[in-house]
Amino acid sequence: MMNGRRVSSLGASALKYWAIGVITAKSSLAYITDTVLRQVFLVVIIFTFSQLWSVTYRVTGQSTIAGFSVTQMLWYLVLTEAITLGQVRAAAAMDDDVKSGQIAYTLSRPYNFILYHYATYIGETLVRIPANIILGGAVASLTVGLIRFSIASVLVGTLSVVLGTTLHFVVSAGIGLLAFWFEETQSFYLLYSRVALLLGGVMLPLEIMPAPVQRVAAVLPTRYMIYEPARIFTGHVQASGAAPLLLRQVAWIAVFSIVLNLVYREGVKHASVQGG
Amino acid sequence: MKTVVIENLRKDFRVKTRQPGARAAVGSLFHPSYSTVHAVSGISFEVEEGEALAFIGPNGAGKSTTIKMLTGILYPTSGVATVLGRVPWEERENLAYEIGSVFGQKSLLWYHLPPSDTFALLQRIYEIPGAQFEARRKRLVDVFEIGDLMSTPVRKLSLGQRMRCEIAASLLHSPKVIFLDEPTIGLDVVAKQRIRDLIHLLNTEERVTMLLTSHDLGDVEKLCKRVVVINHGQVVYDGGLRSLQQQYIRSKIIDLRLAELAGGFSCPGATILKSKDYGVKLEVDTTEHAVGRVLSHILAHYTVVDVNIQDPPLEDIVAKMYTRR
Repeated sequence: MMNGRRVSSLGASALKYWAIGVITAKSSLAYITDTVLRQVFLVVIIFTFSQLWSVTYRVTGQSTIAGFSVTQMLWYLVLTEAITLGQVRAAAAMDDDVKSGQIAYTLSRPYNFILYHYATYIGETLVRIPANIILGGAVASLTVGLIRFSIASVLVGTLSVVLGTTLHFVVSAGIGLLAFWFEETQSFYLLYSRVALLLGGVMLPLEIMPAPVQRVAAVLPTRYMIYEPARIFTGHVQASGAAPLLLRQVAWIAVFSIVLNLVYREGVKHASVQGG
Repeated sequence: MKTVVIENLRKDFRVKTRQPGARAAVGSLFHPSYSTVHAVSGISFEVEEGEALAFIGPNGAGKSTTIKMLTGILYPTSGVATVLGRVPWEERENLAYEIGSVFGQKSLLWYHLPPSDTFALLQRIYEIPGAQFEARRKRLVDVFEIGDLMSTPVRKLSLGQRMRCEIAASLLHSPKVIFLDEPTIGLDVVAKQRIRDLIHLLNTEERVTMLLTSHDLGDVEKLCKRVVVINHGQVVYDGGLRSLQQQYIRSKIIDLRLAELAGGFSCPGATILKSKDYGVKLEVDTTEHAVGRVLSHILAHYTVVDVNIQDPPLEDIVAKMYTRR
């Protein structure tokens, strides 16, 4: 009987997770109408923002606020909201997997549990975010007009969105896996998501925040999830000078991936998947 | 050759306990109390290569916990187990390439997509070379007669059709051992029969070692010659299905057809289970009364048109085993 350790080639492993991502995206496309309809909320938010910011710019008589024109401001918010609402709830998925015992079925297949979840997360998220951008962008175009993107900013910005979305995954997946120890992880996630919302520049560009808040936000990884990628699209970070930003995103992903793996390894040993 | 070896396997869970009431809830935050649940209490058995073993027991007996340890999902508290020579919890991912699992209540197939998409995904997951995958897929599609279902979204398949696709999908990577957990749950009689025939065919033709857990003893009777019964985390029976019946049968069922109406029928030493028109169904406790004596009494007092003596159904035998501590 052969008992050697099976070593999958990097190509075969990559193909495996690629296939998982593709099938998730395909499955999301099967109910794309539902996905889009669920984002009606986004239309309401963007329309409300367009009215608020148009009035703000008109009343103050300024053409730019904190370096943003009204068009840039609204498109910035389209991007941040589209990304936020497009991200699949990785923490909830992990938490549910552990608590429902579904983890038992996932673990019985030859793939890495975290990479499997990442592939499904990114597969669905990358269907939802573009759909949201199209929807939110349509509202922004009708209310404040189009913004001009360079091809380079779209390419680099997209890469940065993928990295930011990945960073969000590694943090929130780690929170979800706390379900190995805690009966309820929702409160941890709520805390994290509120910090990300305020200090991650989702509601407002960080430039508008008071100086002390900006100082705190500057050292947190949350700014690299949505704020910085959105600024590449609005032209506040030049695509040609985005390399340090991308590297910092990669570094944060590396740090939180190590933490996530530690949480997972200890958690699996701690798992008490009873019944069936 | 032994495919599965389990020696003194034990799994305890620490479960948080809490008294009712707000005060107790606050108290448990500072002084949590725990109790230990002995899910599996030192079980041992072996499964030969190509054998079909039924692993049965009531809910909460420790079946699923054992299966989860054998697939490497759970670490045991103590004891030893190997599957195909590997220690499952140390080599889970490697072992996953060689084992398969079918869970009647959990779908492997992607709900919104046709089975062909899941099959293609499984090719990547199990890293099956192209030509080998095509040949295997063709064989399974033919055997399971699912050719016309492969392009239909799973949500539009009947449960029976879905289960045929599920089992075929779980066999794509040619596993040497397969864990079948309630594979016929929820199916109608015809679909059940078909699934059992297909599983039996694979067991005999491909010599796949099978561990079946099922509450449907029809599955057990059709598919397995050997049964391991687990209750309260301990093996209470390990042996042939026939000897289980012989060892645990404590009664006989007598079906009578009388020449007269069965209304006033009575017979010492027998319990009337059912009586209608000319028919009577009796149970005789063979530890207290000889069947022959009971029959002699009946023949002496009634005109019997037809008689049939049988063992009680397997369900009843096992139910009695389950209720013993």
